[in-house]
Amino acid sequence: MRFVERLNVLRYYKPFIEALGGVKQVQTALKWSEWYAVKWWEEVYNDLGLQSIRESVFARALFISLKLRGYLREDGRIKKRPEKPEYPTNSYAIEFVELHESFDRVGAVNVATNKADENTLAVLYSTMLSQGWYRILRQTFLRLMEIERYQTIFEPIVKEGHVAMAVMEIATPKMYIGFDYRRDNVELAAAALKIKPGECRGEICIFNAPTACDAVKIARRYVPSGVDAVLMLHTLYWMLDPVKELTCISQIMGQGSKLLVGQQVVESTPGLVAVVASFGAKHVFSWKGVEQMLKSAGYELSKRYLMYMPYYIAVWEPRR
Amino acid sequence: MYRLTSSVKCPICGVEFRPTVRSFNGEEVEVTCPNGHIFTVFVPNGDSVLDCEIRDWERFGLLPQATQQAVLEVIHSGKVPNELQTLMRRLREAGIVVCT
Repeated sequence: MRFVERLNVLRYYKPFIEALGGVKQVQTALKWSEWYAVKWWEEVYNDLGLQSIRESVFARALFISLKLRGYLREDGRIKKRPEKPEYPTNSYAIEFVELHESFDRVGAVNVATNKADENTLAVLYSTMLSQGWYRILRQTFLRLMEIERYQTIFEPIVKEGHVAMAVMEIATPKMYIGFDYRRDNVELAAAALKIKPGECRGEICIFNAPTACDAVKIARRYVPSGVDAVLMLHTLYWMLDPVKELTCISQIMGQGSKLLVGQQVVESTPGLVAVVASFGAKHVFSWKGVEQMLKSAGYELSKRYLMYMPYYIAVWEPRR
Repeated sequence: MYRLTSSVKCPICGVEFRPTVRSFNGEEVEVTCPNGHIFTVFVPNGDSVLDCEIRDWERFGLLPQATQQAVLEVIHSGKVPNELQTLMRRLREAGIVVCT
């Protein structure tokens, strides 16, 4: 990790690091993520070869992130292996490692060949979202973004509603609008937020729409002058066509509106990036790739907090 | 401090507001309206589940230990804390947990 990035992590992500028992415990947890990533890649490569990266986002995420760290040769063979780390002692750090262990039991080859049971993966995704370490990570992001400053918020792809719930715990926005392309997610999020899906009479409105472009058209009815902030925590990789959808999203952003981005990238935790890819992500990004995409969609960088550790965090705004 | 997701109406002055509470201790919490009136509201700690059991132990065994423990506690107590609501629904959808 670059020196400046290390300093910024300590500066901006202190609550997360403290909750996970300090820098050493966090490092141990991250080492496990690397260790598992190498293990999974070896299994996938031995069974399916390099061809797997064309057929599976999960395999692609493993290959790119491990190659970047010098673990793999160009042809996919393993160049070096990380040592098996010690087991962490902090409860949250253990939770993080346990998620990798659970995923390992599903089987990397099963995941790469789409043979893993979809419901089991959905349960594991839900498990991750409800784990304590993830809750702290989410809270730390929202506090860093000073979410309480924004009165109207749009959240593309709400997943199971955990981000919206976390926002409601620390702020009182006048209007919170979110959508998801999956009906089951809309139902789960609405139930967790104790609202009816598609009913936009209160402060929270969650509905189903196929893409952000369709969602923006609906959302503009409720916030004709645009929203103060668009909240995208680990959302970009779920979008089918991110540049197109980001361009549409800028149409719901009012004067001075901010795009709050938190995004796992290949430079982050390799095992975790691959795990999330298996949960249905459409893409894997590098942090530079995220920035190029945002620029191409008509945004300019307002402030970058972190490049990749524990994930990419920045504030962007539409170029006027 | 937690801010409740739904609004309540003050029984004295009728003002509607979203109360902030210090902590959840049981299901009844004391709140103060913007006009200073103090009253008690009922806050369910989450949905209730009745007569649930693990139907698919093999897939349940794939979950992290801490999560397995939390789910078993939900089943024993019949109460689902907010942060586990979506997971419990997913477990039921997947047929890992069955509730009658």
